[in-house]
Amino acid sequence: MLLKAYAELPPRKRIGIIAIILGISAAVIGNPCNTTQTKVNIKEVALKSEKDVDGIKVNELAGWIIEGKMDYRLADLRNESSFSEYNIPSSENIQIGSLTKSDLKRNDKIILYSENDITAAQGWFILKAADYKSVCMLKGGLEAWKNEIVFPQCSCGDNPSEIQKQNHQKKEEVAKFFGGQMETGSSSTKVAKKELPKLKAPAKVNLKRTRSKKKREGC
Amino acid sequence: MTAPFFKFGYFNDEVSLIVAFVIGIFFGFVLERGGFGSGRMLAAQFYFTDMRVFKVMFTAIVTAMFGLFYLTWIGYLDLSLVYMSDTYLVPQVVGGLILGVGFVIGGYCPGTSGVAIATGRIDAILYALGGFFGIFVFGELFPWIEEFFVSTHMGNINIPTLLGIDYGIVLLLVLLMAIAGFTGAEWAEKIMANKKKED
Amino acid sequence: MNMIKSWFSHHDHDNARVGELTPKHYTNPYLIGLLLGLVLLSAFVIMGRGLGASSPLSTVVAVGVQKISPSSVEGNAFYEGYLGDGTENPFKNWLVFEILGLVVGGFISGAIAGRNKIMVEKGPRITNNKRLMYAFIGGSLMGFGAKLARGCTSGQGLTGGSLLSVGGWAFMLAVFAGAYAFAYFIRRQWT
Repeated sequence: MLLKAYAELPPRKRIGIIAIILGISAAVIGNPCNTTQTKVNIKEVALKSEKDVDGIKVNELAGWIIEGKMDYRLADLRNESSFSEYNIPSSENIQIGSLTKSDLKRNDKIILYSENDITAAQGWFILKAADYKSVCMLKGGLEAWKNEIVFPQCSCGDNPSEIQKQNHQKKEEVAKFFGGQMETGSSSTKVAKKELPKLKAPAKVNLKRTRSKKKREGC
Repeated sequence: MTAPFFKFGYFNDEVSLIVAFVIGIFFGFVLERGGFGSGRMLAAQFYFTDMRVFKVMFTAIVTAMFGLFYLTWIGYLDLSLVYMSDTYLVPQVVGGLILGVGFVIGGYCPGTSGVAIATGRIDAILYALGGFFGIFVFGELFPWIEEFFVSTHMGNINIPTLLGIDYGIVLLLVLLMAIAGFTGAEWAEKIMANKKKED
Repeated sequence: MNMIKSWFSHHDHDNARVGELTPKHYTNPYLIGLLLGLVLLSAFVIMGRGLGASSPLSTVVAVGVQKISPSSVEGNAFYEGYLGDGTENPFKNWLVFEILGLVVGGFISGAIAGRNKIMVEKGPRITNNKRLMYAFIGGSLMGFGAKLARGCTSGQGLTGGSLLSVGGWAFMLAVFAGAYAFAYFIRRQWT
């Protein structure tokens, strides 16, 4: 009977009623952005984990920083005090709990790192579940960064080949760039705790400014 | 989340310019269909004889608003990737007042003047030239106005955040306000039409 | 020339008395609003941005000023914002292409309806020249106001309004307030 009355209304009023129904349902829904629950693509997550595609090696990241590439967002998931002691240049401090509330965007190229692999992996899962398109973890975390980039081991024996010499050279240059140095060989020095270089102010790069030309999106 | 397509890299900058052109065609077409190519029609809004500007604008706003809400709700659209400009409250209000006066004197707004020029209105051409002049004056005075221009910056804020009310509830309120407005507009038009008959 | 004139053919406006509007030939405003809303929504969904109309005008002014006297653009953050850093043509801009499309779309619609006519829109109580002068004055105010408000009725109004931007809504209210407040003083132009 209601439907009959509805059908007899002029088109304008009909649309008005549909609009009001949609409006009331919107009011009931409240917030359209899903901040608490979401659907995870289990297959995708499992496949990516299996294929190990979402990891990035420390030397790859070091290369990007040296080249001055600025198209990624590097997130340090450790706490604030550790971050201010030392952080990888161009990184931002984001706590894992506020990853989705941060200004990381779903279309950003995001790299996560923590002291080791665990927190980064947890962050990876959270962001993948929230449908962030490109998330990578720094393989080995800060430990690997320390041991391979800032304080790399000198691995050459007595008669290094040409290639070994070149690699040695490269490692030294990279280490110097990041304020570290090459560690020479015996196991005793490996045990000694290495102090990471003190942060120079430019280490906290202001990403927003140096990113590629911001397009005007106003009106 | 698949939309907005451009933000997720479905096509590049060059293609986006073509997209702009096509969207522009639809924009201009619809505006002209609605009579917005005529300065008299636009100005009639402010004499209550034809409230079409109000009706069209708010129907469009409500439609797009609903679309954004529901597309975000079903997880198709990522609302955080849709660009919204920052709010600078006082300059925008003052600018709005000035533009409003310019609107009723000139009879157009930037978009509709483009449509009117396309349909041959000479006054729209003069209006656009005036627009260039006004922008030029602004540009020249900019160093002195700059401080005012960036005052009362409220950031990227929307009404639900400002009032602390849920997005959906604001939507419903806007809809009800629009319907009330439309009813009022129709009533005003009727009164003016009767008045005209009496003249 | 005659062919071009025929594109701007004569129709409704000839039959209407000067000053009389012919709204019955225009589509229902609510339907127009719905369509416009869908166009706006498509821009949001496809591009992640809304529409706009005042930026292209600013780009033209910035380029013009630069051509005529390059020194006055330097150090002026306003012009530089529209000219970019010189690596790209400032006209390679989304809104510029959108406005071009708008002109084409308007022309097509007008041609179909026979509303294309080279004429001056005005009320019955005013002369053509005075109308043109008012159009220029109105345009100048619009240009200045639009830049101050960082947008116009399409950008801040439609786009900002549908995104529920505080600035957008404040702007819209101000536009209507300003226009209604001044309408009385300029009524001789339109009614």
